[in-house]
Amino acid sequence: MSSTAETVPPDAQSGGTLGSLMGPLVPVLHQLIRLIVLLFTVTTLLFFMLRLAGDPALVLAGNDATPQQLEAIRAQYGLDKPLVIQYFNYMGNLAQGDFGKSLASGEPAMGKVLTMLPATLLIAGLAMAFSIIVAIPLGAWLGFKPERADRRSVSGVIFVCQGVPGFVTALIFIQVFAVNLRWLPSLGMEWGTIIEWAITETLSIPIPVPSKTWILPAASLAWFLMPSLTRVVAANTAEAMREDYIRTARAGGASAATLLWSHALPNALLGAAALIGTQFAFLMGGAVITETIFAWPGIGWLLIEATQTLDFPVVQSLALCIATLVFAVNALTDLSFQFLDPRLRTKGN
Amino acid sequence: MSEVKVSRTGGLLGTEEGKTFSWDKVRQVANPEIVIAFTLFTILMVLAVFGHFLQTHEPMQGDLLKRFTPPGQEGYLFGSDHLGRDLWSRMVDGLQWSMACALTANIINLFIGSTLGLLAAEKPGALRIIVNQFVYTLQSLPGLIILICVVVVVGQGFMTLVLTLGLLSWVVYMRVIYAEASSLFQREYVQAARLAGVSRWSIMFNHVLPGVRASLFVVFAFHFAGLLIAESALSFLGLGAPLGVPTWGNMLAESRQYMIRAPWMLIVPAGAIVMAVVTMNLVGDGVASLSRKKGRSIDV
Amino acid sequence: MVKTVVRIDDLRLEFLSQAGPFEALKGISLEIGEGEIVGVVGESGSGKSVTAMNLLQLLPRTKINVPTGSISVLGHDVQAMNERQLQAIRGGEISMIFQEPMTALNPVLRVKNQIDDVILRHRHVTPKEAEQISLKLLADTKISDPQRVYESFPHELSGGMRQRVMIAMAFSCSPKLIVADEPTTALDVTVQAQILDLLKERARDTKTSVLLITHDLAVVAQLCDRVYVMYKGEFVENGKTSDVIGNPQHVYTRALLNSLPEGKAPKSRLATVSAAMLEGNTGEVIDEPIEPVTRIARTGDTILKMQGATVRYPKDYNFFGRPVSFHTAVDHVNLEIKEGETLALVGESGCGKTSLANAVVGLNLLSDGAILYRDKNILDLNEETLREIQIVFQDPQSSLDPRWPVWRIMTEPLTVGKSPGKSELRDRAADLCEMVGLENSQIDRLPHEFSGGQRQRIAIGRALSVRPKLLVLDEPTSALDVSVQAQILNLLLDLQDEHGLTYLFISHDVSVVKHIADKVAVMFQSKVVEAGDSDQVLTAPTHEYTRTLMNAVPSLNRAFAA
Repeated sequence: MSSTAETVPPDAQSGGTLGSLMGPLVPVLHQLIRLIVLLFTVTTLLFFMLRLAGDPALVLAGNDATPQQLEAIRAQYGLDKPLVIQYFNYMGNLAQGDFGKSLASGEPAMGKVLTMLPATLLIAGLAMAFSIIVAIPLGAWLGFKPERADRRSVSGVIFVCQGVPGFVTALIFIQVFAVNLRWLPSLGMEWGTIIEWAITETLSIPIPVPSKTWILPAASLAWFLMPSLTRVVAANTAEAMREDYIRTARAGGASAATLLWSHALPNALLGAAALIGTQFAFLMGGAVITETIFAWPGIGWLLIEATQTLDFPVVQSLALCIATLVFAVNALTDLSFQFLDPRLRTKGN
Repeated sequence: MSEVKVSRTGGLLGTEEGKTFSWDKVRQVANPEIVIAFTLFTILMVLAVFGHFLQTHEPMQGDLLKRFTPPGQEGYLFGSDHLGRDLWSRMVDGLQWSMACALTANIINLFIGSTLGLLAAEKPGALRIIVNQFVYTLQSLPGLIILICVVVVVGQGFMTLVLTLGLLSWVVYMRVIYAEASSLFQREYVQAARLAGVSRWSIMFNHVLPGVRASLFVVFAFHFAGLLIAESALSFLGLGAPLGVPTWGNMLAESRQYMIRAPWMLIVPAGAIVMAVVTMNLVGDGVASLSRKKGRSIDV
Repeated sequence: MVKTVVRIDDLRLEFLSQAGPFEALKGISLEIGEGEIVGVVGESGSGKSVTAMNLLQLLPRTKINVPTGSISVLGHDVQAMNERQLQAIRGGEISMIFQEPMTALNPVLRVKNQIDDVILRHRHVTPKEAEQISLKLLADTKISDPQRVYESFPHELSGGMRQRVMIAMAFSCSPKLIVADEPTTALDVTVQAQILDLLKERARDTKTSVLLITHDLAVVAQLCDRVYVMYKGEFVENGKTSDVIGNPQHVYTRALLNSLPEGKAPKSRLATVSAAMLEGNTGEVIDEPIEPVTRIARTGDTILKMQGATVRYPKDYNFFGRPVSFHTAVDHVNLEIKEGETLALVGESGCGKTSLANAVVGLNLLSDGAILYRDKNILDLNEETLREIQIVFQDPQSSLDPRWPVWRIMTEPLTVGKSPGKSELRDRAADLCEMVGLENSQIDRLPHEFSGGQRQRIAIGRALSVRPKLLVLDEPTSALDVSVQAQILNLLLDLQDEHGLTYLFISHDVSVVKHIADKVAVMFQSKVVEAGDSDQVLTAPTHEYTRTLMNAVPSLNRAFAA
């Protein structure tokens, strides 16, 4: 049913020629503009939220600074100018690729963030991979015959798991695996480990990874995603099993396995892929807490440190970095839809 | 299959649906999940309202001679902490703090989110574009990160926490209400009302708002659980409740140094959080399944 | 001696639910011989689909109970077979065709995979051979480009094409029996005719037995050797199709045939299956039509005029979100309706008739041209005059707010601009109920407590509450069973006579249009191709498309003439 809004008033019928000229580039450009608008709103939002709330000079100068020292610091960092001028200065610098310097250490803010990024990506990637590997078969199994007693009890367990906040899980993991069982080291991560791991992965040179520090952070982070992903796969599978095409396949003599794996699951995964995109932001939020608990030197840990010292350039750079990451993951999800869903594939052509 | 449904519910004169309360009806809707949800919810509410009468000790007062008492000994139901304070009484205090915080923030969220969602759904225009961009932005930044930034700057305390959560985490309401109201605005009965000249406010309040009511309840329950987690996470990081106030987050943070000596210091607040969150999730699921039974669609 | 393919004996079937068992089949017996096409006809809720699904044991066994009865299909006692044994005969010896071609094929799999899958499962062939067989099957269903269809995803095919694919799939393993559950209900009439012919031809060629489930007596007449008439879980009558339809014995069959508009005098009141019968009582079963006495003289003034009315929808957008290409749904339509007349707009899905209807009531904006109500552009009308035009939608389910009691729904338009008291509104609602044939004691009930036909009465009542002059009726009977359709048609004719209403009647059903309309406009691909007096256009069509349409409509008379 079409509403008033969708019909075309007489004057809107002269189409632009620009769109047709750019052809295949249009979707790419479209995404790029969306990203720029997003980064712009993120920066603006955070800038005013942070600056209106606190005075970084107080932190920089320390507790026993005199008013003169404060003034000097404000002048040095340009904090004495009106907020709007500061905003335009900041945005102008951003446009030139200058993200500012860390108020605490004087290093370039974005550089600081980027050095911390791989550690976060490591556990986030592992958590995501782990969640997906567990959630898809488990969810498919649960959704295939959800009314059975065994599925119902497993669903109940997953439901409770979903109710356990990630940081509580992290604490429990430490208690159980590190304190009680003494299996895994819980705290800290040596840079050597990361570097070794990266070399092992990228160059395929087998270097033994001496430390298992990444296991617990990755596992607790996976906890943020796995129960909800499993539940979505299960719900989507159950829904797909009620569709007409399943009845058609059954009437054609398809076995239970065929029904599940080649008819229901491909449809169910469409919903799961959408969730992964939206849940990535949530996962980054989880990374903040997880990294703090495990003292894992990633961007989440950096965020806590930077906010506590009101190191605005670093916080801003972090936000930009995370927003771009989330955007990239969402764009990838959209792209994967094009492969998973043939209905979208032809639409694009 | 659908044929059967039609004949069952829509005989010529329709099914007789009594308006009076009856135990039969209760038995019909009461599946095990709903019974459990209802029981747990009642316990939670009783503790939140009458908790003070059930506390065995003064939650802030410790007895250094009785540090690290294991649960069940010397009159400490859930044991005592590193300062010899009663964990049970502190847990009840934490419950009241968390519930009050989540409830107030949730109500603020509900008003902001559903108002914007309804207005944006009604017709295309500047408001829809701005609200959607704002929501898109908030979604691209993990909610917790924004909360951390703001809380650090604004400072600790009950009111700041409530206001921060209340003003910044309404996106979920906006999304759900926007999606559902958009489809309701396209329904034929709304179009028929428009053709009859019914005003937009009347359509919004009499057709659309009642239509999204069930979803509002569901989101309220699930979001309540989310706010409980956010609140305790912030307190745990030392950013929410002021230090020393007995909240679950603070209790968890305190427990970290005594993991080997007194694991119950971890287990008690962790168990409390899990119970509260699972309860609210169960309530949300229950409301969703009840409204599905009534044949109303829900999109959460 | 004809071999029996299916034999059902005294089958009872109950659905188990929390509210207690519900008896769907009350002891049915049925027989299908080799190569025979047998129809089961009945209205919604009669249990005909349950019968079909149960033949292949597709109903969840944990949710049904079969107290008595046996089903023998090709000598198998299907009720005793386990899932694995059933899989061996499903798709092989027995196959099924379903109603909804849009949803019955898996959207993420190519046609290729879906057909080959069935063949590979039941026949010992290599994938290469399976492909050859599939292409041959698709060619047999008169698809002009089998290779392309074979490689396609379902969403790339039209509804008729998909149903051909379903037929190819059903015949893929040379089954002995095909169960077709409303195979053409979701299709346009012209496509329906082709698919029915195809099904019949393929069945005759391969000597396959067919069990056809349908609500449409005309389809049965056209296709079936024998027919079973189903009512409330029982077969009330069966026999050779020509006997059952030509000389019905059971009261229900008679009532059903009498409620069809085909072959009745235009604007005469149709007989309906009485409420008493629908409630399961015996006794008086057919409500004889009562001819109305009063007739309001028609002024003959032009009430509505469409001048080059055009509706376009944006199809593609450019970079800045501005539309660059358009789909023209309604293309320069010129029509005129005189006061007290019924103009029917007839056409198939997607022809633009609903877009035009929406434009008349102002739900769509015209991209070009104008619509004049009493010589004034509808865009310039004041609120009060605009309310003289009201609409009744196709689906009575979605056009009523499920949370409102009937009295509120019916009187909502009266609350505009003023606030009458509750008792005043309830009185008015009671009057309206009487007008549309509902009991006025029902005004406190909610929509879900009513049947489809009653809900449509409520929707009509709401439209009448503001005393409109022009009613736009958008497929008001197509979601309803035939006997209910007859009631609504009678009501519409009565209302027109009593209140001098003008109707713009949108429909795809030529027999209904023939019955109710004074003037007819035929729409095809966004244009009106033919318009004029109803008997002239429908009996002596001049345009090619109108002729095709008329020939495609399944008709009882034509089926017997042939």
